[in-house]
Amino acid sequence: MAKAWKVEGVEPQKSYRENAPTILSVRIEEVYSWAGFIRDVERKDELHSMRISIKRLRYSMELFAINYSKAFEAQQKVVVDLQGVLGDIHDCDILEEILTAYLQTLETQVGAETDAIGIKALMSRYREKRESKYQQFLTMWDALEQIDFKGKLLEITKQDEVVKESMLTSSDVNVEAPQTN
Amino acid sequence: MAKAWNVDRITPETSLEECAHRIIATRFDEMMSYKYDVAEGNPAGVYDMRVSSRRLQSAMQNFVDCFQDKKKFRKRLKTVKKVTDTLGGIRDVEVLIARFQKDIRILSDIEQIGVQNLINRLQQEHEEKRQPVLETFEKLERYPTGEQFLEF
Repeated sequence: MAKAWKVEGVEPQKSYRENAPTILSVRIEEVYSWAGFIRDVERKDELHSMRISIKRLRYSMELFAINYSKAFEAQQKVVVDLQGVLGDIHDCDILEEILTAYLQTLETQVGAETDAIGIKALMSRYREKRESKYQQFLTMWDALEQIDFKGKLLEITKQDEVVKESMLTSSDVNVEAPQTN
Repeated sequence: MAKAWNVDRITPETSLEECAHRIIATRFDEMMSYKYDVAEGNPAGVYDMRVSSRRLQSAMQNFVDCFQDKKKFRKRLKTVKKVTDTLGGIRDVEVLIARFQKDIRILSDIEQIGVQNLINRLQQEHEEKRQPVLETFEKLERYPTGEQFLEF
């Protein structure tokens, strides 16, 4: 798992509000540092690292929410949705990993052919689900790119006073996860 | 998922240093509040404690510069990471067992045999993974409260 990026420029004696953009912008950049890998289906580790970076951003946003307006909450929700879909993808990857390892142990056992039937059936099911969730994630990501979610997120976090509601309404970032099986 | 505990006396105008101490102390207390559930093997407690430990870790990673003795601070952070990792090991196995127990129902009788054997194996593994968590708790017993966790 990738390490958390170090935050430079924190000023402990300055206010919570003044330091919020310094920390949040690092966590945002950390998430987007993985964006170049998401369309390569082989880069599962990078997608997992993006999920972890999104968690760091989510919990950091929770911490600093009191410094911002309601528009910030809408952005938090988008981050939570992204984390959820990436979590589902990761679950499928783990399930496949466990089943593959178990199948390998069965190969060395006499009379384990029957056991392998059910394991293979589940593997096929999880592969389908993974593909569906992966497409769902890409759809969400593309929608966020279209509205320049990163730019808006950076913009709102860099305000050194409570952001006016008019700057960014909740509907601007209301990218719901498309429903799939 | 359990909600994060509210942190008292945090305002936008309070210094980051003061906020960092309060947040980390509260998150530590929050994490440790699930200790007994985890010791009793309650899966919901494992999940909540893991999420709390991630929240604590995230706060600590953000606020490193608010602490003078970085060496000791990083040592504390390492202990929290250990909690997250060991709980993660248990949680992963619990999720796998629950998932397989659910999905086995849609399989034919012959397909169920192999999956049931795998579930049995994972249940054994689950028991083995509990021990390291209890050992990590022993290390944390040194800090009865979040305030004491930050005394260095």
